[in-house]
Amino acid sequence: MEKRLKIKKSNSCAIILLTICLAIQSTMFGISVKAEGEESPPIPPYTVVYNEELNSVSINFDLETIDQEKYEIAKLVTEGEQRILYDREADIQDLAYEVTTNGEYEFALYYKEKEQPVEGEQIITEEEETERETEENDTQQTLFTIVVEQIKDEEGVNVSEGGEVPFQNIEPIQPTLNEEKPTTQINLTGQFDMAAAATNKKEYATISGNSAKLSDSQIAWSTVEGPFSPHQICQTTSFTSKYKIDFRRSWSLDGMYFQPFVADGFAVSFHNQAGYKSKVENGSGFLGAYGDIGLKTALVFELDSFTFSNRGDVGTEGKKGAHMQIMQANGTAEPDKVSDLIPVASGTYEDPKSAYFGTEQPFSLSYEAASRTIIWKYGGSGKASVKTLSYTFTSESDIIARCGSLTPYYTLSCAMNYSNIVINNHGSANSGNSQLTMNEFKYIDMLPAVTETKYYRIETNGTETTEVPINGDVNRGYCARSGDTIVIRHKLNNTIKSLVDIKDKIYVNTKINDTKLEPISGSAKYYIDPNSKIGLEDAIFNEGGADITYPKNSGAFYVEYQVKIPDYFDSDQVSQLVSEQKLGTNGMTQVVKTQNMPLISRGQLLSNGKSIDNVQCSPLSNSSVNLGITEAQKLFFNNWNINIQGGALTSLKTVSEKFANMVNKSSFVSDSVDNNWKLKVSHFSGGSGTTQIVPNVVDTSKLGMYYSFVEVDEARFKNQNGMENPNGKRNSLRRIWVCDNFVQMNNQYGISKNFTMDEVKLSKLNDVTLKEEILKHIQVYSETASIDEISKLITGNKEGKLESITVDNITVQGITNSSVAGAAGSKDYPSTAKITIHENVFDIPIKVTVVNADVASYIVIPAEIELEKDEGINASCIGRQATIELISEQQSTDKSFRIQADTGFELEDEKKTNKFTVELYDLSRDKLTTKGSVANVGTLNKSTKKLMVWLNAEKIKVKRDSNYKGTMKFYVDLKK
Amino acid sequence: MIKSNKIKLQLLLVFIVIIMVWLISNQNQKPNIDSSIQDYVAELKRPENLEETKILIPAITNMVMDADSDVLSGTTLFNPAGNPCYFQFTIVLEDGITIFESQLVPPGKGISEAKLNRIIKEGTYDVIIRITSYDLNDHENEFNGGEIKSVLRALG
Repeated sequence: MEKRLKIKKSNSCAIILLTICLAIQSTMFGISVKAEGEESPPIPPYTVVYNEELNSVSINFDLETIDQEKYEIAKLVTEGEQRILYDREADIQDLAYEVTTNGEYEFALYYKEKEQPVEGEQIITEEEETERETEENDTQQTLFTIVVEQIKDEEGVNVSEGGEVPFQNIEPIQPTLNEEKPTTQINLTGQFDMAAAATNKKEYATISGNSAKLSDSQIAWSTVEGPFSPHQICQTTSFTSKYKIDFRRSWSLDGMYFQPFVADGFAVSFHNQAGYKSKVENGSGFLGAYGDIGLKTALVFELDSFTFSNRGDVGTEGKKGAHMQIMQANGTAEPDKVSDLIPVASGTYEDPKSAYFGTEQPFSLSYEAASRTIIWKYGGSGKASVKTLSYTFTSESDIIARCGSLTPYYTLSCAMNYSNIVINNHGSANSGNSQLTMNEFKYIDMLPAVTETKYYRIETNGTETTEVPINGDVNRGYCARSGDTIVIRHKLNNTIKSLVDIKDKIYVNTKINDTKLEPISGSAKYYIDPNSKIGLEDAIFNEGGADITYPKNSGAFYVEYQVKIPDYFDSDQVSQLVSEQKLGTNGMTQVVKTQNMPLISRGQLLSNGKSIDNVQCSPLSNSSVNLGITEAQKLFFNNWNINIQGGALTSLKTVSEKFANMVNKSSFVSDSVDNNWKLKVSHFSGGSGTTQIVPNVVDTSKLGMYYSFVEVDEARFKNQNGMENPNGKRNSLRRIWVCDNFVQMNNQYGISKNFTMDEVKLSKLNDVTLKEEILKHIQVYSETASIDEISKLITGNKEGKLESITVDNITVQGITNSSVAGAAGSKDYPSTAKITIHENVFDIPIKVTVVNADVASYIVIPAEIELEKDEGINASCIGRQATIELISEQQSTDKSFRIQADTGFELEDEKKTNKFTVELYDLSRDKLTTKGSVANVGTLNKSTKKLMVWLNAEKIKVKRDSNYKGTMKFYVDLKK
Repeated sequence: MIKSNKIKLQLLLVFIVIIMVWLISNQNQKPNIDSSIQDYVAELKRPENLEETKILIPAITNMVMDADSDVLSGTTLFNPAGNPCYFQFTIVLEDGITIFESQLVPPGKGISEAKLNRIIKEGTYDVIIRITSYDLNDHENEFNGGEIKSVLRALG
């Protein structure tokens, strides 16, 4: 049976007033809220006690007030039974539950209802008895929720669950770049608030110079001239953590302490006074921790090197002198009244003249959550023996009672008696500094390990590529590259399966030897099963990191990031992609693993698009083009160069895709002028291909060393002897790899958008079926253009000559003019080749003259023909000369039209009583040659634009003068 | 009186018949102009000094249309401006089948979407464009004409 109730402490003014009133009554000077338990189902009465700073709450339950006659309480647990507050059978009773965030806290109370006595006798059957026993044994459960809304952070802002408690936001931590010593650089400056120095003059001086230093890894205070300003005796300062530490978990704090031959020592205090700053009172700094001006509720671990023997501040063993001690500070003790302090453990160490002074000694505080034992160690270096003290909290309530909170702050504080140093003239005190060299605070209750980190590159189509080695191969360009979208996947193992906060960071170190860091953003997911990705959840991931709570009892756990690496184009921006996993949040954490992945820049291809010897080779116009981010461009196979920055004077050759058995299709050569690498592609069919250099066609001076343009397949690259690189040495083979969507070099001509027709180049022996639309354009054009014009159209540089046009291809003669003025070994290689029209031809702004829409030629014929007596070919005939002409547009002048006419035609008078035949003769008065019923009149073309024909009839057949009518028909046939 | 009216009625009928005959004869005298003609200005102009009695025959040697269509959409059959005659276009397939015959097309006019009498499938066809010309002043008076060998491409 489950019953759920909700009790809410509202945030209203009334409640606040009420809580303030209650606070006045509270001995803890906090806010106390009481709630009465409910009878049925039983809700245990409880009090909600806020501390003074309103940054934590202790929820205290009172189970004894529950009706004991009616209910038998078995267990009280927090949500999910993460913590047992009461267990009758296990004899656990820890009824104070502290929270530090606002929110709804759920508890479960397990209880049994006791049998109630009934009046009078009652006969109970066996079945009823069994049922009753069953009910008695049936433990019931009541769920109830307590709402906490009054907790505020330092700025007075309400702190909600899921916020940043017990830790607070800080600036991004400087990453650990040194894998060998990942914890040598910690971020103390980001973890502490430093108090100004205080003196017995009660002047709170501003810290200046090196009097008290707080660096990333060290806290130091000085006895040198001007350690504190102004110089006073009994000075103190302190460093209080910005973050809380969790006493429900095991942790460790250690470092090294150095003191000169006299100093007051230092103290580590655990308390709940955010931003605590030590003060000086009655001429003493009290190690900056206790005394009536010190911490109110704190457990103090002190190392007191003060040697006066007439003071009461001694170890519990009664020895007067330097000592280490664990004590409870309550803010009321006078320094000389030992009894007012509450030593919980103490010990001594040897006289200050011993080896403890002048030698850096290790110290440590370690806490084991299971036993609630904290161990305080000092010494161990040189002749100084290790001194150990310990204290075991009796319960979590004891922790709260002594430290003010289950998640207290901690303060490193010190005091220094300047006058003592001067007066007693202890050794080299005047030139010494006291200092703490700290390691980073770390939790030790789990042993998580990043067991693997994998890296995948995301292709432009969104698919995940196969795994890329995390360290990649920079020389091959096989690694993370700027502009890539990649997935980084960590696998972590939590050996004790506890809750863990993970701070995972990914950032780009833009230069290996520089500290310039750039956080990168992306998305993060985490899950348990890498295959099904069960438990997949999105996480916030920005500014280089994500906070992820390690799921309980998960064992292996995966965190996956998908990020886009920013674009870097300069070759000197070769960088690192750094993946760093930290445990805990916001600084007080330890680095689990730092993984550096090499990152290389993506080159930028620049083209100046110059025209060399009438060869417009580059499809890139006069502008800079970043091919890395644009769609794939196809460059002409012939005549283009690429500079690759740097490199030695070596050459290599590549084998093109299409002609794998033909070397020298392209080659990498060094330019003797600038020593830069250049990829030269020529169209030699054999022989050495390293002689032709056509500079400044495509200039990739900004290109990274290891980028390329051709093929991923390294097998295509050969060295000069046709051998693959045996050892990867640069001078034998430079391996070149392709960036996504980088330049593709095809063994066929290609054209890019905005090309004009004149820039279309030839390829070699590639047959591609022309699409009809293309064919139409070509054919239409060929109808009106001359052969020369078509050749120009196709070859661009007039090196080719049109041979034939078929449905499928256009054959062109002679394309391999590789000669360039001044280039040694230049030679023409005439050959027959076929060109194909690339699909991109659609983008070519072709000027098409559509002959069938607007005819480019007219044939001019006479409308009528009137025969004259005197015009016959002889006296017995009548006749007339007729003219047929050609009128054409300029581009059609190469067209030839064969003109034919009927061999004869009849004329007849209006009455149709007389009819005769008119026959056709040429200008020589010879009959025209005939073919069937038609006579060939002649051919009209650009040289013969007019044809003459004699129309002749015998007089004898013309019986009388009359009007004769008839029509003559001309036949026009385009001569092919 | 009745007889007089009868005569008048007979005269009226005769008059009406005469009028109708005149109208019909007049109608026959009008050229039968193709209804689908449009103005058409060819880029290639008629030379100014060309005699008026000369006829310009457009050398339409190549025609394009969409396959599976009966509209000659890619070709304009036109009568060049300045011609002294009407044109009548006839398109005949190689096997003699006529697929199109227009009405009269005046000079400066053209038929840009000739409606063929059948659907043409994708392919290339040898055709003859027959141009018959008629006197503008007497459309029954036929002038000399021409036939042009042409290719019709129906493109898919």
